[in-house]
Amino acid sequence: MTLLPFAVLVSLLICVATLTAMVLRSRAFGKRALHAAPVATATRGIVFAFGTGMLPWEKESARRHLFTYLAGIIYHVGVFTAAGYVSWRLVFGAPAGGSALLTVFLLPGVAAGVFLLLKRLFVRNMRRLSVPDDYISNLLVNYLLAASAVDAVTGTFTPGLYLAVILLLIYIPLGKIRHCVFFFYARYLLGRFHGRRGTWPKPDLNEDAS
Amino acid sequence: MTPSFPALTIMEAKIRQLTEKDLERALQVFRRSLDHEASAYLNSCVHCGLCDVSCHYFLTYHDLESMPAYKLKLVTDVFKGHFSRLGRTLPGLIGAKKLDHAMIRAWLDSLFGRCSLCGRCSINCSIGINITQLIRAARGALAAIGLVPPGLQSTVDTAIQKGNNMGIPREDWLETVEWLEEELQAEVDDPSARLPLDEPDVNLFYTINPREAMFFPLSILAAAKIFYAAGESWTFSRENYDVTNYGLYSGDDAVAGTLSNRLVESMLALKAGTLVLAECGHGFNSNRWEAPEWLSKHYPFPVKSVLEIVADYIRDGRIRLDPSRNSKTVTLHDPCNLVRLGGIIEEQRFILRHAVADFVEMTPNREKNYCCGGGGGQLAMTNFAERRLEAGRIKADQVRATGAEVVVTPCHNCIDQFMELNKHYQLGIEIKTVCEMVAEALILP
Ligand code: SF4
Ligand code: SF4
Repeated sequence: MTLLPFAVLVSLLICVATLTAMVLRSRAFGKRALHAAPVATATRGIVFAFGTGMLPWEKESARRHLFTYLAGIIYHVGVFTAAGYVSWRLVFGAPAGGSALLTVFLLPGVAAGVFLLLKRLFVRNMRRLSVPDDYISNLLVNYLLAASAVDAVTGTFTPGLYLAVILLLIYIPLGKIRHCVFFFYARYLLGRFHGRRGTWPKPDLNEDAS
Repeated sequence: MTPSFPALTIMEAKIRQLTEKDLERALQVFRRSLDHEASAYLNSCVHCGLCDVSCHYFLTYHDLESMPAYKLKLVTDVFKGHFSRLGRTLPGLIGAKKLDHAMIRAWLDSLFGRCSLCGRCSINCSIGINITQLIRAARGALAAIGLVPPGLQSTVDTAIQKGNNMGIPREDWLETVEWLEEELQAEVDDPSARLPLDEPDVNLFYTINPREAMFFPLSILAAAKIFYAAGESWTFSRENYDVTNYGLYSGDDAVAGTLSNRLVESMLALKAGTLVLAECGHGFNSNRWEAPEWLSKHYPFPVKSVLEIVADYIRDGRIRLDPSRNSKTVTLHDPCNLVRLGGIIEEQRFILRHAVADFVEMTPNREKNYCCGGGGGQLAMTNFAERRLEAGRIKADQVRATGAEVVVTPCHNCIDQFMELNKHYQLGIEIKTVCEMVAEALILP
């Protein structure tokens, strides 16, 4: 048992180091200065990109794929819950009680993960778009959420949980879960792009009511 | 099984002749076009597929090849196959691919033939990937090996060689201006009214889409009439009046920079105050936003759309309009390059509210508008014309739903596409520019 938490920490270090190297490699592509004079501050666009710009009434793709969008949110809530639970477990040991309540977030997360997997398997375009990484990433996260739920209820599935964490941490830099880092940068960049150009957020219509 | 691409038949011989050296050159150009932003985008797609419904091609065909995520994947696969260690080691895991003849065909068919670079997928992407930017980078790699579809390439070549994309000889341009000047004088009943050429130290240096000179001279006249009514000091150039820049669509930054730089040089030579871009979506995006990056320079003068100028005239009371002269129901199409990618969103609405009696919005509109299908160089690429028209059905349906009799759009590319949609889908609409509506409503001093 003492070896497993240690292995989790080692895999966390490997994960962070590899992701850092990846970000540095990405930065090595070079930064270009922007020359066109902005019409508005990039900041407003960035705030919009991380806020309202992600909500279904602003984002048509979310609205028109509402079920998948909600599944994605539930899935991510599950992931953050699992991450919090595992961190607690590593630092403080088994929670004194009440951890079973976490299943409120973890089990819907598992269901959402399974839904997303089935969609990928059975919707033709999604299946054709997918590569092995899409399935592996999904299964590893589903396993983590399920293992967290079982351990949160029984308190006895810790080896299985730590194994899930180790596998996931090692895998993150290899596949699409690396978006845990790149998401923030990509969204920042798109927000800056539309912010400078004055597209995000939309101009206040009242400004122009004359 | 190798998929067949009938739309690429006219390019097949060229594709077959590609050598390893050509492919290497394309890769080098692709690599050079990437910076850390592009690299971040290329590492970010999660294959969620949510972007599919944002693309008018997908909404028309519902196939994998029309999904923005698939078009992006074609680019990321090559990026991973050549520029990522993991992609080279475990290509099967993440779908990394080499740039070979089959991939070149897929790039041509999807990145040129199923994309109008409208940017709608980017704002709808779950992550926020600027898909348009990456597709354009891949187009640039194809341009480097002479694989821009012929219609688009010849438009670019004509602009480079003849000074404007329609190849209008200088004498014809000067004659057109002279004739329009006479028309203006007659219309405003003032023999001193002018369409100035190469006038130094003026406020505005005005550019046009050469299609106006060739096919729609009345839209030039409309702008001239507005400038006259506002008492503006402005000029055309004898040489450099072409606002368009098809280098934006071919992906060739060097060519695009050369074209835009002509306007910069004329501006500086004439010491004009503001570079004013006519109603042309991609011309606006190119010259306002992209050209300073292509040329790596800060412009020492402002660059504005004519819509910003006209909106200011109305706000400042420099022109007065009578909307009852435009009594038909009018709707507005938002050109993607001007609105979503250009940030000119409310000016045209402000103007129309003053210039027409009955204005109705399309749904969706503004930065969420659907592309009409004419952007991305599609109008020039005749080999993809059938798709362009079919994908335009989304826009045709939008227009029908408004019940409008007139579609106004501040872009001559969009106007061309609307003229074809009008015929193809029997919409029975009139198609106008914003300035034409304003000129109609103008109360002359
Ligand atoms: S840029 Fe427009 S046309 Fe191209 S893939 Fe995206 S939504 Fe479709
Ligand atoms: S929405 Fe964005 S992340 Fe999702 S498949 Fe489309 S491009 Fe990829």
